[in-house]
Amino acid sequence: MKRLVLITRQQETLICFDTIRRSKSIDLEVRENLDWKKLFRENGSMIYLDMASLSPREARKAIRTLESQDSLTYGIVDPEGIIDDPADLFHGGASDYIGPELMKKRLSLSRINQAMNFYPYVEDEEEESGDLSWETIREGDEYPFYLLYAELDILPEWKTKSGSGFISGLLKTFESHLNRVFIPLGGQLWMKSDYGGLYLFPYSEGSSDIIPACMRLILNRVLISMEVFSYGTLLPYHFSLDTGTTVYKKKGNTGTLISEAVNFIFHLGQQYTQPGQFVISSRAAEHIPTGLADCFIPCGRFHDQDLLRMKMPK
Amino acid sequence: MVHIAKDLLPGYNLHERMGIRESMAIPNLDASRRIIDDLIRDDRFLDFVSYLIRYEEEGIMGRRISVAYLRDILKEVYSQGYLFDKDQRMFVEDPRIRKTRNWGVLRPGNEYTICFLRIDIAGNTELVKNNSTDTVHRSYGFLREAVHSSVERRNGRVWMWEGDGGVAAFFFGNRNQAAALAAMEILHELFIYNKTGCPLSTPLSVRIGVHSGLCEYTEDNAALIKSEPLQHLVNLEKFHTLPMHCTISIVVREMLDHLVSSQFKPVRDNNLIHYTYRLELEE
Repeated sequence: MKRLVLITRQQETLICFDTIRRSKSIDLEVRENLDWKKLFRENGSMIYLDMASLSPREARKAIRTLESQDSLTYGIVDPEGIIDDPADLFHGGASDYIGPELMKKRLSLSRINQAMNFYPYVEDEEEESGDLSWETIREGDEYPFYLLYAELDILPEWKTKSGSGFISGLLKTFESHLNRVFIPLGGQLWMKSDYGGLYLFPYSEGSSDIIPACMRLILNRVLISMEVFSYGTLLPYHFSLDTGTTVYKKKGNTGTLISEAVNFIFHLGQQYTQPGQFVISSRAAEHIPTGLADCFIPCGRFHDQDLLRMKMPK
Repeated sequence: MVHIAKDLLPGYNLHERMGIRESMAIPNLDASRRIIDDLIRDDRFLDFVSYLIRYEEEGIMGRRISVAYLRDILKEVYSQGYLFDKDQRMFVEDPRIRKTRNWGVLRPGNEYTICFLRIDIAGNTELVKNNSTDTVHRSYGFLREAVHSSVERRNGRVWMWEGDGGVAAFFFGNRNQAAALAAMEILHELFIYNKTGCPLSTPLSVRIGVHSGLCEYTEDNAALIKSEPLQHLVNLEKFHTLPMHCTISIVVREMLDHLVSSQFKPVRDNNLIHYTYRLELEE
């Protein structure tokens, strides 16, 4: 779902965006506190900034700030027509301008979609980058990947006392939570197992965001158990991470796939990694962000591969 | 409707407002129009709809009643960006649509039980002295974002922010637990930030306190900080919390689920007992 953030204090502007608010294809969030600069970090959002909510000085400063952002998609809402030269906004990188005339009616969904697709920044960036992405990966070819095996540690008594409905509910919640974390990092749930599955991420050089993401999942286990699962008990889960090459086949079409890397990660995740742990192969450990290395300790060898595991919270 | 209006607007007198003698009957339609107009003028319409919901569910004085067109009224209220909070039995703003300081419902002068989270950067003076202004701004900016994110994700609101720390408020749902979990998450985020992205010469370290209590809502922060719960919280955070720790009062601890409360260890200080949490990895 596309995400749109509207920064306004004006009721009239909210009415103008009413159709968008009701849309199921766009997630519209209205913010009033004008603390909009932190939105720059929220990738994938388009921002509409309402000039009527700002003083003339603030408005000029805001436009300068927006123009200085290379990869931000934004539009200007100008109910009072204070912008002298709207075309100049587009020279500076704006994707939309909603002036006083347009404010008299409700904005259509197609208008917003056009604005969201107006500026081809993302495509430019992809061309410049040498890293793999899902757009360049073709079925049947071999590519390097990060392979992350994630599994819920199902307690034996759940199987005997709670029934399959409870366990399938847990798994569904687990999967959707992991999707929320890993999909923005380029991951996709590629193969499912009984209590978890294998996430595949296109390989990139340098430190990997997957590692701090998994660490957060381990550190926040209590929070996730309470807020995501809401069963009031600590839910154990474990992760295993490796890098390797494999032929890519689409999800659901992997039945005939023979891959040493896939074989290794399944064995590592299902046979070696203990409940609650985050284990990482020495190959993948090369991508631990600087500074986080001391959070990992050696934990033996498996299939001729040295392993490290994250230190557990006490 | 007159009963509801009298509850919501103390001293409400329909006859007086309409300029009609007490002895004269007012047609129902005129009366209801006038009451609705008065409630809207005094910004009590959402409270009025909350009453209608209560009457529909519980009846009045043992008599079941059905409020005509309640579904349509609710549909319109929801479309204006409000949700009905079943715990507090009142309308609150939909956080996906808007986020205001008072959740759209707290009224100045009224008392509410609010859970407060106070965060303060430890060793602020030293950090400012030993690092460039830009470095300090960037690091403090990260902290502010992390606090806003953790607080607002749990439908809390940051009520004060003064560069080196601030105060957040939690009112809806399990407010004590939301505040405690937000505090834990902030510490976890800082732990990773200090190891990966902190440009300061020493790690960015905070003290967090959480306490809840009855407090008169005001938009004047200077008055708010003098309220009893916040005075207690300032004391808890300043004098009973170590850097990179979160201390919660016993009032908050009692309201937590066992799994969360078990993360906080008791600390005896003179005759007081607090509970504290810090993130520690195994050696």
